[in-house]
Amino acid sequence: MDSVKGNLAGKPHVFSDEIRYKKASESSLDELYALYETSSDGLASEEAVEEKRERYGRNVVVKSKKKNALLRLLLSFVNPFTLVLLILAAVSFITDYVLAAEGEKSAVASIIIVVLVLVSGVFRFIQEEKSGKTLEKLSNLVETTTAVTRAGISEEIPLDEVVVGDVVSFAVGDLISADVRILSAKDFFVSQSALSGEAEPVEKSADLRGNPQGLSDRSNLAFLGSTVVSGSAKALVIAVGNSTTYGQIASKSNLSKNEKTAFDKGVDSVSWLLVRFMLVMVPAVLLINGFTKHDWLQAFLFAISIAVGLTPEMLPMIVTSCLAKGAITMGKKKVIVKNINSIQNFGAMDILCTDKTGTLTQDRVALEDHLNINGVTDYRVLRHAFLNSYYQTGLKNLMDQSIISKTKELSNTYPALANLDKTYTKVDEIPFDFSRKRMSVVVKDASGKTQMITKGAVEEILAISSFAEVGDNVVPMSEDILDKVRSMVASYSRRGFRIIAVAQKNNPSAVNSFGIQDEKDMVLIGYLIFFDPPKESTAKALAHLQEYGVHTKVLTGDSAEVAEYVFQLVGLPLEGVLLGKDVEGMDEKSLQIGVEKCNLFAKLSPEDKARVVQALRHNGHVVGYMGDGINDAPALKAADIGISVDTAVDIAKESAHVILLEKDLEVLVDGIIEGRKTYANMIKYIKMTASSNFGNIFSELAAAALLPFLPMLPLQLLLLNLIYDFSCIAIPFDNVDKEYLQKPRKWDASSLGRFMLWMGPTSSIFDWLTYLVMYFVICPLFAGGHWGDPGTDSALFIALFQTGWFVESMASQSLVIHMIRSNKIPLFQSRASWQLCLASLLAIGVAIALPFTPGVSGALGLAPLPWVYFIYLILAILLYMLLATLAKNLYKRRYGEVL
Amino acid sequence: MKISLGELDWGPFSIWLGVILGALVLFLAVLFILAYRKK
Repeated sequence: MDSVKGNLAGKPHVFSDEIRYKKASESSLDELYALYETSSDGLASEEAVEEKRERYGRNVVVKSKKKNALLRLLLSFVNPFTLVLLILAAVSFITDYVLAAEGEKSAVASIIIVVLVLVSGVFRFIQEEKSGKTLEKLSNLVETTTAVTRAGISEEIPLDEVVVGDVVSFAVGDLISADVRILSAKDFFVSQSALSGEAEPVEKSADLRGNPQGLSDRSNLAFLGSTVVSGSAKALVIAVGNSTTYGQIASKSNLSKNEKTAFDKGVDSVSWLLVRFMLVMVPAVLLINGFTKHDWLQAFLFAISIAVGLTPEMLPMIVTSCLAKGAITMGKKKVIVKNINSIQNFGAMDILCTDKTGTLTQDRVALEDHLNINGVTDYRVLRHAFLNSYYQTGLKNLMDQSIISKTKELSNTYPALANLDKTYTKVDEIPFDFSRKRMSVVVKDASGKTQMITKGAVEEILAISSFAEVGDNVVPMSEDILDKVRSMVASYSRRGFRIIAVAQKNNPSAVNSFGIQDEKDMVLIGYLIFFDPPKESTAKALAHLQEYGVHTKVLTGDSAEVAEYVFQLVGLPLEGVLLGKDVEGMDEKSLQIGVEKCNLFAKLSPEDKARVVQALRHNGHVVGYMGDGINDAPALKAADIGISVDTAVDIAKESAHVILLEKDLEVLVDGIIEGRKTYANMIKYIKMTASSNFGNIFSELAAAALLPFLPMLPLQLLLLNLIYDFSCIAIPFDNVDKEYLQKPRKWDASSLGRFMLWMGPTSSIFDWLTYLVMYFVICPLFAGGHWGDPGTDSALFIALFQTGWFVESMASQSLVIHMIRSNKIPLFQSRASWQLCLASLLAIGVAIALPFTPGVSGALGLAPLPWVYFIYLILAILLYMLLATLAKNLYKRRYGEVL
Repeated sequence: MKISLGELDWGPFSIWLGVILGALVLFLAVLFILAYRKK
């Protein structure tokens, strides 16, 4: 176990973790403050903070030690491609230099191979570094903060700035920012599932309760990685970063490793499919070439080169580049992707479940009125609401903020609303939770009179109210009053207002300690009426989503009436409504049927929301969930893609895969389009590589069986592969047809196999045609005779043949991308991006130029091609493009689309 | 050109060209059948 330094009585000590935590747990508060050189007001100065940071480190969990740059550079050379090239370099050095006769010694080929190794490794390193750095920059844009008290002043600071000795405050929805000892707590329940795997929240308190077995059982210690489920607390930070319990587990295990998504598995399956082909191909080619050509060394090297050619060694890099490019473009559109693999899910999403508040509405909840039971504006109701909102220490939501600001605004006109914070002192509070849907505070006035004030959902307040205040009289609750209340609530709800009720009771308990059981026999005093107008952009954004094949469903904790009103305003047709109580009463099967028929789910608990999302996923939908509240966290986790906003509570941000910097559905549409573009470019590369590799298998098998020499030297084959891989770095920048973006795109591995079978042989046919023309026409014409004739220059014959296939292969591989990148007719109806066009032209240009480059040409075994070859090449490529387009259209006819 | 076009082996060339074209026709036939066959 790691250890951290402690400082007891001014002298630095090194404690083991067990002792350190025990000490923190068992010390009195004074001992604790002395131990950590702090006080209830927190660290006294900026110097003290710096000193602590220096001594105990920063609050950053480094999940695995980052390898240094040199090691990362070396690792980018570790792949089969490099290994085979180095073997080739060694063989070439031995045959061309060590064993060669004096005067014929040449190390040029070996030097070229080493240069290729260096170029490919450095290129891979640069690409991966670039992707990594960009993603790191993007993730830094999303910041989680925590409330800390320093020198008596409370402020929100980024999580990584917390130091040992800080006094921190937690409310519902917060992440525990470090390992802490609780100083004071009120109904403080935390979920330690990230640490212990236990789903049930555990209560934490200032005092050490029971007889704890393990550290996590200690009731007055809370740990980094836990989340606050209910209540509030103040605590002292005792460990940060990698010294925390979570940090130690994370740095030693693969806790940080993400589970493989369907997409990861899809990419793996492509790799394995090609590897399986290779395992059959390589021995076959080796044996055929070995027995027919009797040069086992060359046959072996050729077989290995084919293996390397078929190994999709660039696939991970291209996929990462595509995803990183997607993440960058999405970042520019204010969509921050926390895990780049979720980009694909973003594009595949066909149902968006969203919370109502702030997504469909403006998130500017305004307190419109404060009414008594008779529906008359009453400042007493507002005064009670203020005391409740002001003194509760949990998360102050938009309603609380609105109540506080409205009271302050009216206090100039109505003196009864002024100085309430001075007239009353807080005695206690019972924090909010989603099962009760209400919260209470107990306050005391100057005369010593205590009063419990509760506010919350109307039904929940009615459930605990035995009395109602009608005029100046408190009367027992009756059916008449209940009917009157419910009809007033319904009438406001239908007009889109949100209503919460306020109740109170005097001298609630003889002892000054309160709990949920005290929320009874209350007096209903009135209601608060809020209005949250829909956003102007919502209707347009919803129409856009629909246009892009994403169906929107609204999941809200609000009443159905309020949500229905918002539906009307934003022009969303109401298909059906399911209420929380309906959802709770349904088994999984009936819920799976129910969720398909409805697009409004109201009065849902957090668990109901998650169940609705799970039911939709079970039905085969790719479900996105957008929300920013504590009550959204389970649904965010349950969804294929959890979407939250930068201003959301920690737990929602932590549960989400994607963070929007602007809470706007239109931003989401941009993100979806970008997700689909990224997916399109990735699948383009995968399909193209897989099909041309598959085609090469046929070509090479035929060559091995029929040709008296190798159709290409191992080095040429590897060089071809390298140039082609280079040209593929432009793929992430390619254009995607507008039509392709209209539909959600789900990863489908089955389409890859049939695409390979359909498109692969088209390139083989032209490879065979090239063999034929080179062997029977071009090589005899320029090498002085047929193969085997006494006057024929055999070396030139072979070099011309190999160069002819080298150039034709490069041209067909580079151009096939332009055929399959779109459902439309290439060049005329759909054009590739300039980057991709340039990359293709460069690749072909380099392949054509190499045989004409003095020095290099000979070392690579290439020969300058005659002009007549280029006439053939142009004709062959045109025919190939026609055939590929025909095959593509037939494929499209059978399967609907190409990609 | 070191030899003339007339000196080339057009016989085997034609046979192999026929084989390749045959393969092409066969391949296209399969694609057409698959594309136009009722699923």
